Amino acid sequence: MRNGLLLLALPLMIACASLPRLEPYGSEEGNDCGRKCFAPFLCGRWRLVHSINGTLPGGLRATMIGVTVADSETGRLRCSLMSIEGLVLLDAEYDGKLTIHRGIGPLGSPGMVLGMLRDIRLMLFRPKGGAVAAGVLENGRNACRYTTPEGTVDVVITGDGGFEVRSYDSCSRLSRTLRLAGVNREGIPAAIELDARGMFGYSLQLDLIEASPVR
Amino acid sequence: MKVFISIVIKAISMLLLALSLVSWGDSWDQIKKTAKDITSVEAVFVQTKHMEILSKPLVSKGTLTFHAPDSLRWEYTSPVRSVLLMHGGTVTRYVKRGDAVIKDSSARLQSMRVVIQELTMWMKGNFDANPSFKPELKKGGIIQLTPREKSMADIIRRIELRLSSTPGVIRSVVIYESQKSYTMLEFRNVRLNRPVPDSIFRNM
Repeated sequence: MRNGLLLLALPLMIACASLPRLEPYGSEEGNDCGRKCFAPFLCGRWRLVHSINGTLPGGLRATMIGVTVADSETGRLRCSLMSIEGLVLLDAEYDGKLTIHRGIGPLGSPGMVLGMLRDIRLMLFRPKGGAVAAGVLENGRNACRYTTPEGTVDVVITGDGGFEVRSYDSCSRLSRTLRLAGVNREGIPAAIELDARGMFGYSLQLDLIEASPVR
Repeated sequence: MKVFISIVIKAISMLLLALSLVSWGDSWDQIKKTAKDITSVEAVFVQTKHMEILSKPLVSKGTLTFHAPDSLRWEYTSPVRSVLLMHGGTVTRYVKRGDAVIKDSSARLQSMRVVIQELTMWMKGNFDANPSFKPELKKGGIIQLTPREKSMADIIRRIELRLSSTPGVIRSVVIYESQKSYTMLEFRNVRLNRPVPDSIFRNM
């Protein structure tokens, strides 16, 4: 019986979805929207310190401190995750290839760390390539759509000075939603919320402690 | 010149006084004997995290309250407001985010338990209680704890404690994770043996 249900559910699980409709602008409005869509992303090389509150699969909640050095030009990232007491659980670097300098427990797994770095890139860096479309979503919000190697990313201007970044996989299924609030002139949000969907879904809330440019 | 000499004499006499008081940390027996008389410790602490990735140390501040035998309240006031409570064998951490109070699960992490349990042991003068670490008492009231096994050394390379001139008081703790990454805890305004209500170890 269970196998039968699973077989019935299988097509639903693997079926591709469709992206939300985006009504394109004329070229002038599109350019203006495109510029605004750049706003919530880093420009240059920065060191960021965040408090990170995570709700993990199974409902466990953990608060950590994250330090990231990110370079928007090269895409290079170095990140460190530590407990509030200062115990470093992860120190990893990505510069085309992953180097884990220190990884305790599950954070020693390259697969898990690469997943984390993907989330960090989504939070900090403008999606690769230019916007393929800019327009209005069905809910009336302005948005830019990017095609990335992993799928599609929509950057939505939420109207309250905030942004929403929606990442869809290659099958147009929503995999990540980011809410960015209090974005300053350097493209650094004061608060970030991430919801990761899927079988092992989780959510993260990041609050900026300090940001400093790296010379 | 007279003023200068007077300052030097004063400085030397103060140093001698401090050195004479450090004698409580000359032997394990002396340390345990002194710590036995301690029923409670209250202190303010400053934690500085040094790492290669940081251009300047990350400073956290908070307060500590310990009551013998093993109740602990470890509270951070900045940059992340959180309280770790240890009482009756249970460890709980709460984190404040805005007005919300969140019960946190990270205190359950194996590596965190090591740090928390060590803290309560040290408050009782038990520096040799944890079989994972080899304690060494050095001159000047310095205690060095070195992991006996590689699995622990991969997490913590060594711990260095400096005893205060005040009997029973730890001045600072440095936890070395690697050559470039370490955490320093400095304790200030330490008050000993004042009555502490049980409730502060149970509630936020």
